[in-house]
Amino acid sequence: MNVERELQTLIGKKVKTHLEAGTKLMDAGLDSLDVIELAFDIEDRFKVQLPQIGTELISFTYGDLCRLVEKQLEAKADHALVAPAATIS
Amino acid sequence: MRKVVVTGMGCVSGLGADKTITWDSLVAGKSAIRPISLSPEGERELCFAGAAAPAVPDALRNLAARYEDKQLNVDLFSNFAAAATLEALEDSGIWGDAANLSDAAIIYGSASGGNAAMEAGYARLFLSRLNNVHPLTIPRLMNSAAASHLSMLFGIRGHCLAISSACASSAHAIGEAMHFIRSGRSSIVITGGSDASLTFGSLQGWKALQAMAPDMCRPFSIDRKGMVLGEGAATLVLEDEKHALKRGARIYAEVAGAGSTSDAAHLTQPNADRAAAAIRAAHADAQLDEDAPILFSAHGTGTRLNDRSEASAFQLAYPSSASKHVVIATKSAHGHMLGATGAMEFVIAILALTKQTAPPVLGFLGPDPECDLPLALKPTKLSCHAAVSASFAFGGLNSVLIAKTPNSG
Repeated sequence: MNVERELQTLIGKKVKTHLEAGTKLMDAGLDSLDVIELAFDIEDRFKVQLPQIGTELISFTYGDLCRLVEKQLEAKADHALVAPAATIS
Repeated sequence: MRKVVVTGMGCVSGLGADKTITWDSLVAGKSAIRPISLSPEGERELCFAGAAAPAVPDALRNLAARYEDKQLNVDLFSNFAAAATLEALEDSGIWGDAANLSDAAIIYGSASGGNAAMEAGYARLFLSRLNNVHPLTIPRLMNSAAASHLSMLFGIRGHCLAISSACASSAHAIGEAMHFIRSGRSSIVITGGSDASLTFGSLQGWKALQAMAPDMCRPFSIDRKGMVLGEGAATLVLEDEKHALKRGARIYAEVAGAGSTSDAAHLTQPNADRAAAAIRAAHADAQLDEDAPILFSAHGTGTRLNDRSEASAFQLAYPSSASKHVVIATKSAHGHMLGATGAMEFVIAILALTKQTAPPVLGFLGPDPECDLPLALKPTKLSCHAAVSASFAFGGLNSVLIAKTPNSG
């Protein structure tokens, strides 16, 4: 899954601004409710759980958001590898 | 006392995306009621309803052409309200008139709020077994969501209030809007109501009451079997007559009076005496003699009890003049639009007055001796200057509105 492309699509539902890695979400035109909805959409799309940072997400840059999602995806993959072993033991 | 007039109207329902299509369908005897499937998971539950779905693309296209997608990210009942209101504002000539809109007020009704938003949340929790719901679930489902949506979308910055009184919600809203202008608190009030209750859960609620007809809505007919759900919205621009005349607005009608009572008796069983009292109160407020010929737009749900009670109320309110009047019951065409229905029927009554034509009651199989009313069973020429629109809601909440043709006294 291409994280950047998927995120661009999700954010594109809210604003049409072109996002650079350093663009803050608030500068792209997202408001406090938009970022809560975006977090919900990300959790649904990537099947990950984001940390409960609430509206603080608004001060993230687009690059920060990509890294956060990638980190959560890696954590999910690691958990999937560990889980069967734990079940066997 | 300030005179209150109607300078703009709009509606969306199963009959169509605007009032012109609505009226043409009504006088042609077309009904929006047809079989539809409702289910959280696919086609599971068949029912008959006046679904607005065929009109939705047209109604929302007009909105989408003027507003961003993001602004329309609300429950369907709010967008129904927006579509009807856009038509009404354009009709009145104040759409885009920032000064007049900014000073205007909103008093808007809804009985059920965002059913779809609520049920989508439940579906995630109980069907998909997820442990969260969409973050906009509450802001989308609250009964005031449509009123807020109108305020934000159109830049209406005055008093903004949602009214919820079951199936009289929008009738009460129009009555309050009339009083708001009479008292000088605003020159313009955007009023009406909206509901989008054709959802699986809502349907089950109505079915559990055993109030639903298996096919058609047949108001006041022998062998009627109950109500049929509809959905949509209707909006009226009410204005202080002097304000309207000053800006050269077209005046459809005067909102001449409103009367309301409550039964203080039963959640679902109506009371003819209190309904008649609301009719009399409206006549007194409008200074309209009960003997003057009128168009009477009945609540006419098509249920055995309600129609019988309403027919009694009519006879009580018009003991010596009943045969002079013409009674219509348009839920047989658009279905029961719940919180929107009072406004929808008031818009239709005003159109009927304007055109001096009564649209026919549909689905009529024959007279019921318990419902002795002068029904318009075919398009009927009128010769009257006033329309009385009745809404008798669950919980015994009665609201009656009276419109008069302009300059008819």
